[in-house]
Amino acid sequence: MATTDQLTEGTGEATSWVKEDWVYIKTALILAVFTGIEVFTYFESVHKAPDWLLVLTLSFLMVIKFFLVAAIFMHLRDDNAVFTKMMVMGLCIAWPVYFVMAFAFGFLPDWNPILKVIFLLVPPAITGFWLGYSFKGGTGSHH
Amino acid sequence: MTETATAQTTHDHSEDHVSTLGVSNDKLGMWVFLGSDCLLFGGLISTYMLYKDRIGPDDLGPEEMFDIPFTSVSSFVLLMSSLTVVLAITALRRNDIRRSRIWLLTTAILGAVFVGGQVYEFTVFYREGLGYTTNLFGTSFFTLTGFHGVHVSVGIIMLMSMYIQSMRGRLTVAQEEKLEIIGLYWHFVDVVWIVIFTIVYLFPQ
Amino acid sequence: MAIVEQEEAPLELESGEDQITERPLGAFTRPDGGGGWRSWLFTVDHKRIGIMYGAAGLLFFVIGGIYALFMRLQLARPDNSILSAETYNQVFTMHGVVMIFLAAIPLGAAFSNYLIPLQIGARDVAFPRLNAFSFWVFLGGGLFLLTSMFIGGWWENAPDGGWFAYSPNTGVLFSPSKGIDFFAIGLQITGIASLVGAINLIVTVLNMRSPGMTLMKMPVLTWMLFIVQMLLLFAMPVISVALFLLTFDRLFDANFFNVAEGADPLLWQHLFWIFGHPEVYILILPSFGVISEIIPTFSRKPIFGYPFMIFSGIAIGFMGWGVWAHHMFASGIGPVAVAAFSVSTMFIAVPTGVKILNWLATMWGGRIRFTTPMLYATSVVAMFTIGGLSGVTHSLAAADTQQTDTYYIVAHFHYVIFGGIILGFFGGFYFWWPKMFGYFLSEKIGKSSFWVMVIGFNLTFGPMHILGLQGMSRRIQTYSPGQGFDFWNLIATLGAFMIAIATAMFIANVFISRRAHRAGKTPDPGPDPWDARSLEWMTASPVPEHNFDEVIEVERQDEFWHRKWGKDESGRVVRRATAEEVAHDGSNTNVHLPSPSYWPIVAALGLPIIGYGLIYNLWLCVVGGLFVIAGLFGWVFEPVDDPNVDGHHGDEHEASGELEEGNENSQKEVSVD
Repeated sequence: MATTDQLTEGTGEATSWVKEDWVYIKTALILAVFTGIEVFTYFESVHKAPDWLLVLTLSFLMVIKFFLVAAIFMHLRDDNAVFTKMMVMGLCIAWPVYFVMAFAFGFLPDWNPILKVIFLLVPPAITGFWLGYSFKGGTGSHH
Repeated sequence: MTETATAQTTHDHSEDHVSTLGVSNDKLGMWVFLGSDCLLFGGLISTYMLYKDRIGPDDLGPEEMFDIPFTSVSSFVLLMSSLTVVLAITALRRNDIRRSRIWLLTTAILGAVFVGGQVYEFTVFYREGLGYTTNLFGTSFFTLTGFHGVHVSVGIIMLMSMYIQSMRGRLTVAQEEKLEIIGLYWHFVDVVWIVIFTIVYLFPQ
Repeated sequence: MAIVEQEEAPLELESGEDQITERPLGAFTRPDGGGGWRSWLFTVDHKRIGIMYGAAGLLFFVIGGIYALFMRLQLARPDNSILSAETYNQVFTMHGVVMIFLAAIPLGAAFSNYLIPLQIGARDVAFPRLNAFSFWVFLGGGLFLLTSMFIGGWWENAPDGGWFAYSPNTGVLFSPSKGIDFFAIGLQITGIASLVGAINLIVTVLNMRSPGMTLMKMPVLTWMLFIVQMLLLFAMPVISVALFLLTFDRLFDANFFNVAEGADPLLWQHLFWIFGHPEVYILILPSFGVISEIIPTFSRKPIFGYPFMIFSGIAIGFMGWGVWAHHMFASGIGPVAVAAFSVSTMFIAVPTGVKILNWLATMWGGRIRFTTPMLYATSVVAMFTIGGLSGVTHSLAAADTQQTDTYYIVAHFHYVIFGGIILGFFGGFYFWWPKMFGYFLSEKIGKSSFWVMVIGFNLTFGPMHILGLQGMSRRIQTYSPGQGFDFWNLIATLGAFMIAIATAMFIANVFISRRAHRAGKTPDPGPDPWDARSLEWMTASPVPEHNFDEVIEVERQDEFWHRKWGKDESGRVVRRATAEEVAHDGSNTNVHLPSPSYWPIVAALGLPIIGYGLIYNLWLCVVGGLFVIAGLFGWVFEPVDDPNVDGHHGDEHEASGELEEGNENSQKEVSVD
């Protein structure tokens, strides 16, 4: 593959710390802070908050951490889109399938069924449209 | 031509002639695998969520068993190992073999600390009376976290084999992609733990 | 490693006896790919692996068929006693497991492995050694499963839980023999094979297409097989989870399906059918792809509505994830779930119907040649429609509660599985046989065996609709006389033996035709015997090891056909060139190919040993583990090339040309996205 490029690129610079590393370190710091907030909810005074608020906050932080690691550490942000598509496809199948299973077992019984459907279908639908859109753009097609 | 040939001798497999998308087969293969692994952990997490409250009247449940401060520390350790593996890759990309080797070893050690923490946690649970066969909570908890632990251990083995390669002077810039692929696996394991830590440990029981 | 360009480096072809045999000794040299059995054991060639998948799949098909014959013999008369109730349970379980996991999936894998690289104009799959590894893992897992018949006594330890293995029926309490252990671990092993194969072929399709072959120019077969691999990729982990839970329950006393501890038996059903329904499409889509190649070729028209064909396939692939609970209408999942899955099941009939209509429209107005492959392909359209329609009757939950666990269900899924899948695959065999082996299968035997098979098939499974609606349950070992079951059961048994005769005729055809061809009585097929459309016909028959002499620049869908045919001024289709002029003759000997390897088979051998170890003696796991580790170790450290290849790239010019193409394109790709 592009081994020759890498050789020239690699020998070009021998400094130990560069800008790129700082991006990663900053990301790690953000992740650490988020983890701190997450753990903070465990403590008594915060833990008295209603369950739905805790679940919402924690889920939100979890999703952000997930995407930070995927986008920056796994550099999906600036890598070929096909990698993101593979990962997203896995998530988009796993999400509704396992939640439908959970609902069938009576998970969150007090939810309105319409709310359940929205909850199930909106994330995969958004990603589905995005996938379809980028597919139209022609995944890796020669002309 | 000869230049390309030289480069390819350092590249250990030149089976990928054509590349429609301009990406390497190995890396794409790893991503495809990770996409499928989402379904594996999804199934295990769902099983745990279904069973976590199904315990006998005298059994200890998740609320009583979990030691959140301890698990937080080991989660933090795993999170930071994601940073160190990235630093190992960027160092290797800059041809800074020595630093890359140090970060590699650090990552493996952090991973080992995490697995060690998990083993310790399991032992404590066992002593407190929660065995693998005690109840549905125990069964599903140990299976889920055990599967994750096995994933981390496989990652440690891969990192250590890269480290040994570097000790024998075989870790060069040409190996950058291999390390990157191992890194992807490692980050994925970390991401899975982010999900498990939140859903299993932190969600109000 | 010498860095010399050896333009003259010879290829290691099948007839490689005249090659240099001198090679360095040592554990880490690669095998030299010479002739004989070794060239098959250590091969990494996708075509040989495809052929081995096909041969193994056919072998398992015959074994699974023998189980079926015993079941039909037992049911031929009321109060029959050929099989005891226990053995009958085991036989129908083995029949289902062998047919689905060891015959239908591998036959699909045979077509995938052989044809995907050829149809996209590639030299091999993305990871040739992984490809060999998946085949050997599959074969090991399949044989492991079959040995359950012998180990510990004749039919003592065969699985007896049905192919769906519902819990808690499969717990140690209700199934104390080791059968379910064999079932769970054997399927786990074959699951690894499917997963690895799926990763391999997905990367191949995405990243190894020849220049100009966009996704929307790929043949329908490649598209369908690609969708199948995506389904396998995401469905296999789910069954893995289910099988792990079951295995842990049985071997390590876990509680996943232990109802006494409050476990929910429906967990197994959900996990199994979340896998199981995509699995149905994993089975049928390869056959849809096969007949989508056969029908246009013999109708002498392009496939009608190509994009609809592709998108209906994708739609089936996605919707296949949303219908699983229709297998569980009778298990009390609640009215909301039943209603939702009933509706989604009705919807999934739409894309399938689109496909049926497209095939009919392809044939409409075409100049149809009823060769054996075309006969099989048209029979698939007819038989699958019958099976599909009886399937729609199941989507109505009220009707389904009446039909569940009766022979009506058995009739339905055999119409789609046998009528849809197996007939399609036989069509595929007749169609690609000249391409794979360089000789025609006899049309005379082929056509007569086709009629025996189709009539036998309808005699076997048609009456089961009636039996089911009359109330005969499935999975019963016998029935009393006077319930009105006697006559149709006898007919079904006769039909089953007709299918067996037709299969025997096919196998005989292989040998008879080969002998006739060797004696010079039948013509050589040449590169393109059927005047076909896709790239695999653009090279010699049988396909040379390097597939194509040069890289094919693709401009249109059905590229090969367009190179043969064009339009004159008045818009009539006229021949531009003969197939022989267009096709490669396989004479390019300067192609560097991946070398054979010892290690995939070594690593694969470890898995069934670990399986036996888990069941009988954990020390065996250590032995198996050593095999796996040795295999992986050798895999990582073996040299890139076999000793016969000195230089690195015989085709350096060509390869770098492709590279530039790829890179150029990748830049464009990034900008587009």
